[in-house]
Amino acid sequence: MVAPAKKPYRVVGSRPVRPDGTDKVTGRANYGADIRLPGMLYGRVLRSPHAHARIVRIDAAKALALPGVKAVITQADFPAAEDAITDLGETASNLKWLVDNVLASDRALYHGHAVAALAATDPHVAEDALALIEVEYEELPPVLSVHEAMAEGAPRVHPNMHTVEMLARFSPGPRSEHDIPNAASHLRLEIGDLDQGFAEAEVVIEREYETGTAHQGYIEPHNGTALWNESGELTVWLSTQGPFMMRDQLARVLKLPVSKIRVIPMEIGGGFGGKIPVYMEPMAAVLSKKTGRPVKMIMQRDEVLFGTGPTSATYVRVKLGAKRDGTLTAAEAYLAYEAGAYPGSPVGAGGMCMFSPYSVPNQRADCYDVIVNKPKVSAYRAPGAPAGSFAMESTLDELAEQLDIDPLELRQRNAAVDGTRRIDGAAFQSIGNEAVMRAAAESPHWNSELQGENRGRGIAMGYWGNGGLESSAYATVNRDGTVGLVLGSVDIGGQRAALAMQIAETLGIDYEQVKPIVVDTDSIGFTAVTGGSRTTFATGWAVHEAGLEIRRELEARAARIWEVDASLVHYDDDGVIRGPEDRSFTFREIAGQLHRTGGTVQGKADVMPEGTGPAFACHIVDVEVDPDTAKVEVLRYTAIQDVGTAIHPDYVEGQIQGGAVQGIGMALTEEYVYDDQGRLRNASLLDYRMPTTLDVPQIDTILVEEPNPGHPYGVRGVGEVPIVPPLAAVANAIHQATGVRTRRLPASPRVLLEELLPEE
Amino acid sequence: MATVFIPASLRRLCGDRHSVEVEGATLRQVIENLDPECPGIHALIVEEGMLRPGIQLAVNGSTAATGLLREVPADAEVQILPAMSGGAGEAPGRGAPPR
Amino acid sequence: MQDLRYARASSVAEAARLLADGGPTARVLAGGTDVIVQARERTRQITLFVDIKGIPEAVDLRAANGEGLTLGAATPCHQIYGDAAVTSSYPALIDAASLIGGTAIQGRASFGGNLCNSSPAADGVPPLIALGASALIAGPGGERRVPVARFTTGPGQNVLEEGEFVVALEVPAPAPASGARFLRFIPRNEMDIAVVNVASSLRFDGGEVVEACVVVGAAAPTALVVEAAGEALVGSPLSEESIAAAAAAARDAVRPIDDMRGSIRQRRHLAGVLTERTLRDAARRARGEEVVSHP
Repeated sequence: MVAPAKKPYRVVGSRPVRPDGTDKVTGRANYGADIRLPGMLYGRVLRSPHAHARIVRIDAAKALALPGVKAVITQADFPAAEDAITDLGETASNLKWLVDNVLASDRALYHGHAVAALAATDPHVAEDALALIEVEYEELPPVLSVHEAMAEGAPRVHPNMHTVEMLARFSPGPRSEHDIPNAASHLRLEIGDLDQGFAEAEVVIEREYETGTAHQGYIEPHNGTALWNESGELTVWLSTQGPFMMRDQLARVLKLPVSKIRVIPMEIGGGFGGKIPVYMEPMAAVLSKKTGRPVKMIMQRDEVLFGTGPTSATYVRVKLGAKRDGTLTAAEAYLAYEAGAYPGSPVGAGGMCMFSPYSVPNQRADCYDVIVNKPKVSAYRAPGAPAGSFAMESTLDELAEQLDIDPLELRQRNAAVDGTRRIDGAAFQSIGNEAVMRAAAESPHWNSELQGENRGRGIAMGYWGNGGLESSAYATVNRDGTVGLVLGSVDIGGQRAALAMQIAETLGIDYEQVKPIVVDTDSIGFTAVTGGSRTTFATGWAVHEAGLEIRRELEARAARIWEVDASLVHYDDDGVIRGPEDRSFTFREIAGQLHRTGGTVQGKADVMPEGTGPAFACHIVDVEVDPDTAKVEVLRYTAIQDVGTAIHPDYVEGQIQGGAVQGIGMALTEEYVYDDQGRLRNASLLDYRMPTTLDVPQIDTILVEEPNPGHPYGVRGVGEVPIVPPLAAVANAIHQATGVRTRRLPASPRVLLEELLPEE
Repeated sequence: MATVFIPASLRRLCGDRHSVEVEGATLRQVIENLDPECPGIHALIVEEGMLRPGIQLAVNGSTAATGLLREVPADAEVQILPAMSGGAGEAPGRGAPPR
Repeated sequence: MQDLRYARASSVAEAARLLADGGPTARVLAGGTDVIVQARERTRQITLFVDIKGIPEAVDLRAANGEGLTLGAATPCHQIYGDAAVTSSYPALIDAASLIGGTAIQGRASFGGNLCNSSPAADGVPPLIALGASALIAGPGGERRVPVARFTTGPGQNVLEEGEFVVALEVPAPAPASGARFLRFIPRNEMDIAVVNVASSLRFDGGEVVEACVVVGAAAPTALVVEAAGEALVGSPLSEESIAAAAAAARDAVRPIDDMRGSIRQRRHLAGVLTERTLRDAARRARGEEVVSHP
């Protein structure tokens, strides 16, 4: 269901076929796994079997003696990371953590931590050789949860690390007065006067919640093929959301100037935030340098789960104060998120987002980034927001029950509107929050009657801020009236189509006339990652600007051809250039004359736009819980979201559906399972249970289109917020179906059954 | 006058004030003028003449893409933000988006 | 993946010879949905795959009226649930064949392979036991038959001697007024391993249960025939009381482990739940009512 667009667009809002579609469905699209170079070697990684161990000795002699093995590396083969971190945590320079995560130095800090890597002429030989590398470990006690980690006297994973006060999410400030073991940082967000807010409250409710570790679950494993040539230039073919981010990380780890590194992004089979950090790419580079041959490395599925960054397991405590009429007076949260072995959990975003759909005058969130002996977390779709919102939206549901107010009504009474201040003090402008809640209240789903036993309906809101950052693009007018569109943003969710559509709209030409291509880091200006829900917004700005430059150039060219003053020539939105005396050129006509009137025309733009519009979503879900087995079946699901302008509604709906399904997975089945020694027990997609098509119903979407005034086509980021509401929506539905409040997700049958069965 | 909202972690530098009003036509001027009011705050926000990695400033709710060069309209609100760029800002070993 | 050799046999004798020559690290390749994974993950040392899909007897599917069912060891699931005679006479096998893995897996996976992999959670094994099936085994010493109930001896272990392999499974023809049902519990709806699975079969004579078999999988080192459940059911009409007694017997009999796929308490409880559900459905099938495998 799509509300009518606010503006009559020609291309924007239509649903053309994506340019990469045919090659993908016929298997011709080139992914990193398809790279084959002459003389190529195959690399593999040896990983720690322990969650925490001192590496006493590594002996590669037997592996090197195996015919076909060409090189073995450890961290000693990397340029020394400047150890600026004598007092860990008090500097923004954490290069050593980056390098240590790629390949362990003196200690392995999680089960699956890379310890050594090798390259051989054949993948079977490489695999055989791994077993021949002798590593002597001295096991150390692992720290496996935020509770364990922060307990008084807990062993410190990084002995010299002290809690620092964060100035902002990424910016450490002074050392905290309250040093907590393994808490790398504390960030306090606050507006208003919390004590006052609770004093005004007539009802106060405080609850605790936990979530498990969840992986992004992209289907294509990480891969990278590196060639370090004799003149010291490094070329890497890989799967990434951010080729420039990869180039910069490689430059730092390998101590190379960026001009010596060319990163060629291949097609990408999913990322969701997880394909931003470097993992085996620097190893492939060093192995290539050592052997003089190209080295290809592809992670096995279990390595993806062992060795890359999932999102944090979390503990969140939330306390709300309200008047009897439901008006919220105070909201307080304590959040502790697992960072994994090195600092950097998304806990700040958790604290930032959880209260944002609501107008609460007095708010505080204390956010702790906690080191544990698990993989270093990385970004995962609206990083940090789902867990915080799970806590807030579950507590709101309980508050609604206590006050006997309809849960959506309670949210509407407290809805953040334009001018409402967020927890960081900023005031919202042009947000669609109320419109989303209204669309939910008017939706067929919310107005349908839920029938049948053991069934329940849940509702929850979600918020995400979206990103801007740098993007470059250029476009070339071809003689036949087509346009080549050159992009630095990799295409992970239909961006080639969405960007081609925007420049087609700007130029007044057909979508089919634009041929978009994603190029390598030597071929375009710096472009930030495809992530943060920024690409259709920011790179969309760039292609629009490039289109405007083409319009200006073509106006000037037409003026020259007609021998009139340029001010008399106008490029209209229908793609026709009109001058005096009814003279006109279609785009195709003038394109055919360019080469004889001064040469080709290009438009280019490098942008870093402000004005990202935040995103709000409301999800409604019906579930049925089998009272005998505690299995939760999702019966019906509706996701309502303010999407700004839906450039390509299919892909907007696809993003919403995908995000909702990932959220359902976090709510019901997905979780890393560790034993008491910190060994990951379910490093496979059999036992790390992502929902399949049989586990979810059709996800219905309702697109609320409140155009973002900060973008020429009204684009808001859409990709991330849909993963935020499902956790609480599902938990609230389970409560209605069973009477049980699930305060720890996933609500797997095993866990939920314990709640349903009588106590033993 | 611009109103600068002080994050909780810095309020002790500003006499526990939640916001401070200062003059300034650009963020550079605003932060310089803020320092006498909140001694030491400049050094926490600015490094070698530029915004420290990881710090984001917002003017009237919009993240300032041009950093300290950003113009500040009269009566604007300035926030020191907990940067929240999600997938876009999160590289290990790197606090901030790369330059 | 281990570097290994592949050989395709076209007769039972040739397969036996290849296996004998290959020694203890030679493995039969039927659908490969388990052994290829084991070779990839190096959980089992394998140097030779002997593919039996070229042997006519191993890909057989015969359900002659009144003579029982002969199921080649490598006959894939999709062929089994695509066969009208099997579907109508052996619906409990269809219950299993249509939920092992997912659609793509079912194009390859076979009951013979499922049996020989000898996982405690095998979905094909409980219904074969409940239906009284036998395995036809060939090897250096010729042919022999072993009831499926006695085939598996422990997790990953079975009665096959070196050089032996299962050629086919033989299922007796269903008796009049009999019915069977297989169900499993998994947290998802496909692509999963049973937390617990149960097959039950019932035969009635004049309203009275005269034969009953309840088999619980994934709750002991091998699929477990719950003798006490059968005893609770035989000799009287099927009633809520007898069903409850059988379920209680199943809960008592199981010896589950606690692992990431399920807890002891959960498995014990589910053994009872699935026993009740399968018995009700088996009775309906015995009465000639249709029970859809996966509604």
